[in-house]
Amino acid sequence: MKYLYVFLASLKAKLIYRTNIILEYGLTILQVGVSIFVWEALYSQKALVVPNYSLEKLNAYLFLANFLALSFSVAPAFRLATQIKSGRLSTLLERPISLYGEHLAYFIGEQFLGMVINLCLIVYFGTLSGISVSMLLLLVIYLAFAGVMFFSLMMILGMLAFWLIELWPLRSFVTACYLLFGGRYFPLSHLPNKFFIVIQYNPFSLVTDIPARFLTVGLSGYELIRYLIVTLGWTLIFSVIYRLVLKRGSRLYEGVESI
Amino acid sequence: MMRVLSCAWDKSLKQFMIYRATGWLTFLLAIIFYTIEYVTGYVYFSSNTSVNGWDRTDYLVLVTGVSVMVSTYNFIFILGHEKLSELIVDGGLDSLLLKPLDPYWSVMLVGFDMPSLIELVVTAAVFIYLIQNYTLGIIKIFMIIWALSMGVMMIFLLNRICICFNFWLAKASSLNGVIEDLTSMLSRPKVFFPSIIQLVFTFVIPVLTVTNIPVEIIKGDGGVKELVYFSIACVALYYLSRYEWSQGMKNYYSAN
Repeated sequence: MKYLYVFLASLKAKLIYRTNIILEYGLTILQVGVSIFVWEALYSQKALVVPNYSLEKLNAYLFLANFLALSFSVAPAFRLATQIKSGRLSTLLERPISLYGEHLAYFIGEQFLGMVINLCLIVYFGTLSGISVSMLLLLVIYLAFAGVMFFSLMMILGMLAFWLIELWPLRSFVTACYLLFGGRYFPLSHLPNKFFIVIQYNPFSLVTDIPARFLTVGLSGYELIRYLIVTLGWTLIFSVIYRLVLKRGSRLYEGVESI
Repeated sequence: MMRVLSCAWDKSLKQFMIYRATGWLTFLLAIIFYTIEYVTGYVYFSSNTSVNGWDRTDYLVLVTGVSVMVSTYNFIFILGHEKLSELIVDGGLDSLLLKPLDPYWSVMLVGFDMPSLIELVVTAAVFIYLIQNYTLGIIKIFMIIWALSMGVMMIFLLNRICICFNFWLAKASSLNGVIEDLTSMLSRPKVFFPSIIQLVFTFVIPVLTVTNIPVEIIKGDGGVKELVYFSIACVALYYLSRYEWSQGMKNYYSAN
């Protein structure tokens, strides 16, 4: 019940501060545009062509990857990091509420709008590619699990704030990783095969690259199930790491504003 | 002023020395961003042909140049700006206003970011290595240094203007990181973009100019004229930023 209140409060807060929403979506559209323009230049001069991807498919892929990245956002990491830095984590730790649960409820509330938009995008691109309803449903279930996995990773990254003095490098690091490994610059399958075989299972790509690929180039149900199993594996690993890092971090935690 | 600056330097150096592991972790995180941009450049130009007059080395110089400017900005200004945005929103600006120093600049005395200095050295070394591929006279080298310095100034001014919006807009917190995002997004050759985007980001929010001017000078596409316009734009933006600051001061409510 208490988590429902957190969810509703966060949803309301998100909808009230509209400037942030406009900025977020504006920047995402710009990012999509930038990636598309670079690839358009490369395609038109025949300098580089991604196999299996026509220009329209590539544009659709980049659009989807970046918009999925919007709702699978890195915000939870920085919310937690700011709470740790400012010492406000103490109030959360003292309350009879799970830290993970509170952040998850807040995250779902914050991204609710984005999730609705993503569902619309999935339906639109799914029908465009002629994918059956059952496969789309499988994708949605996959995305739910992938979302939880990604959230757990963000919580772990946020806890780096126990050790870091300045938070801004965390932002550039996470953004850069997300841009490259999430397929937001180019489809991950474009990397040389020896890298791709390993990298395709990284958490960033599981959340953006896989669904985007599913909706443009197409993935078999068997492959999707395989990625789902990997996602569950990551979720398990992350929950173990989360508990360990929280324990070690809270020993260092001073509960007052540091530096 | 010099004594105050050297105090800030001492303090930052000591802080870096004490929290050494953290400092190196910070440096690592920052350098990964640059590495990924570099790798992406390699992927884009993997066939090593020229696109719209840009080949791989040009692109890599662009990305490295942006990294040099951004790490210089981070080294000198980022800690001050992070502090400033907190102070404005929380109403804690009084500590700055009561001191006998110009508050516009004195917030920078919070400290210097040492890991960014290391990143600056590394990226500057890569930059110098890359421009060996071009024939440059002494005049051009001076122009490049001037362009890079103006670029840092422009990044500083754009960030300061965005942060000062906090005087009027509540919780427009994402505005603080906008310039950082724009700079990394627009570290691409200007000619790749449609003209409307080129116009907006050259004349309205000159981020594209910042990222592209050093390479344009190196390639010979840009000359003294562009550099002079850019410098004039910097000065104009400085006065705009000062005006915004004074207006913000009138709007400021102290929490004390």
